[in-house]
Amino acid sequence: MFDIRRSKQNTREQLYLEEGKKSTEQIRIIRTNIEQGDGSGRKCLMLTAPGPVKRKSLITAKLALSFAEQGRRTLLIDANAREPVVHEWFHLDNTRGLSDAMAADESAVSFIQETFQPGLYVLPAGSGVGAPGRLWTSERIEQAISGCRDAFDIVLVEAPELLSVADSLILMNHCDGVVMVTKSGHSRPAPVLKTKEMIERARKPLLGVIFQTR
Amino acid sequence: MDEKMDIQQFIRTLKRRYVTVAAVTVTVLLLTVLVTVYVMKPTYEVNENIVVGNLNTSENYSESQQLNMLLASTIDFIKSPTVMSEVTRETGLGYEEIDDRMIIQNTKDSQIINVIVRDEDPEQAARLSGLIAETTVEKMDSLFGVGDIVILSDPGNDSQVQQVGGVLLNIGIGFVIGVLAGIGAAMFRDHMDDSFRSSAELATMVDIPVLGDIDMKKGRVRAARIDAGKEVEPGVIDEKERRKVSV
Repeated sequence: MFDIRRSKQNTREQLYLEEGKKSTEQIRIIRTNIEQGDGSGRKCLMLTAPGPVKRKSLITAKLALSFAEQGRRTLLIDANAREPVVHEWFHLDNTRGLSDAMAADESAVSFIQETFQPGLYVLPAGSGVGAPGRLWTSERIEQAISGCRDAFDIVLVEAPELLSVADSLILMNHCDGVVMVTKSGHSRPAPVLKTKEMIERARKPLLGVIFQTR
Repeated sequence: MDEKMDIQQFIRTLKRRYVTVAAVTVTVLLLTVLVTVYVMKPTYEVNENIVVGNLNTSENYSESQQLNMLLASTIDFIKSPTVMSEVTRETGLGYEEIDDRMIIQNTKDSQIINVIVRDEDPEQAARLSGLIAETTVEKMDSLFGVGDIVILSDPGNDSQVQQVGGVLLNIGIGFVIGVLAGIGAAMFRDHMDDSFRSSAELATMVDIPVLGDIDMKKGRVRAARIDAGKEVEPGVIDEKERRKVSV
């Protein structure tokens, strides 16, 4: 994980939706597919993965950027309390974020930070005080997120794997749709199917998968 | 066409699994080096020649049939208990031990029988080969009265002792075997790996719509690059430029 965020300069370069870059066009195609497909009208999308996918946070961040690029007010929530990285891509302060809001049982609106991209806002994961098991309750998430939803056109939640982290399962109930990020040569049929099953059991629409070829 | 596809697939698999190939090759190579240097002792080879019949056959061409029989008999005789028991008694080695070390060769239509003995101890190899040859000649003479069998070389001459196979040769063999084993391991791993290789595969297997592929490596679209250089598009690029100036 560390080799991909070597320096500040490097992280920025990787994050930017640079014209002419293959991934830029691909992320725009994905965004359009989300908008036009089942995802239309759904506000809060959770991005999860069947297993550890390298650069998943970067894909989520790029997707958020591409939404903001279109002039939509976008919020990117880092729900990966155990391994928060989104703030690093945007060079933001992670001392106060989602987990702090939940610990205090208050809305997280005040912790939302602006980014270099107009229209894109980030809610970092936070410093992660306290035990996640006690912290991540349905009511606390509701309390923390509800306020954020109203102020934005679209909310993307960067969530950990459904199969290994219980937090994302609770979090999923507060989202309108789920997107799965898979990687070539890493994602296997069994975990993908299991994740799909869990999403279906929670009665949430699985909008589709993003397939990372390299 | 099919065949071509198979080769392409083969090469692609090797490219993808080059780590496996390299790891297995290096492991096997290291193993061979360790074994050759620390475990295996060098083997020495001594070649002893026995000439059967008179080489000057101008007088009796008709005997060639008989000569062939004699030749074949001598080859068998070397391995017979008569010679072996004698050699066993002299050297203290068992039948099988001698048999393992000894190779008997005869080129077609040649009157020379090669007795090759390989041993880790060069002196023992020389002694053993000399003993076998001498005993054979002696016994052939004393038992069957065949006089025209001669040992060609001077027994006990150390100049004939040669080392079989070197460290380099072993390493070379180890490398080749390593590469082959590596390729095998790569193919095996690829065969056992059921992870998705393409989004199409994923879509058909798990029945989830694919929103799109994404290549996170630094791939570039050719046409778009020209555009990007000329016009300044609103959005992120703009912002990036602006930041650069302000900093």
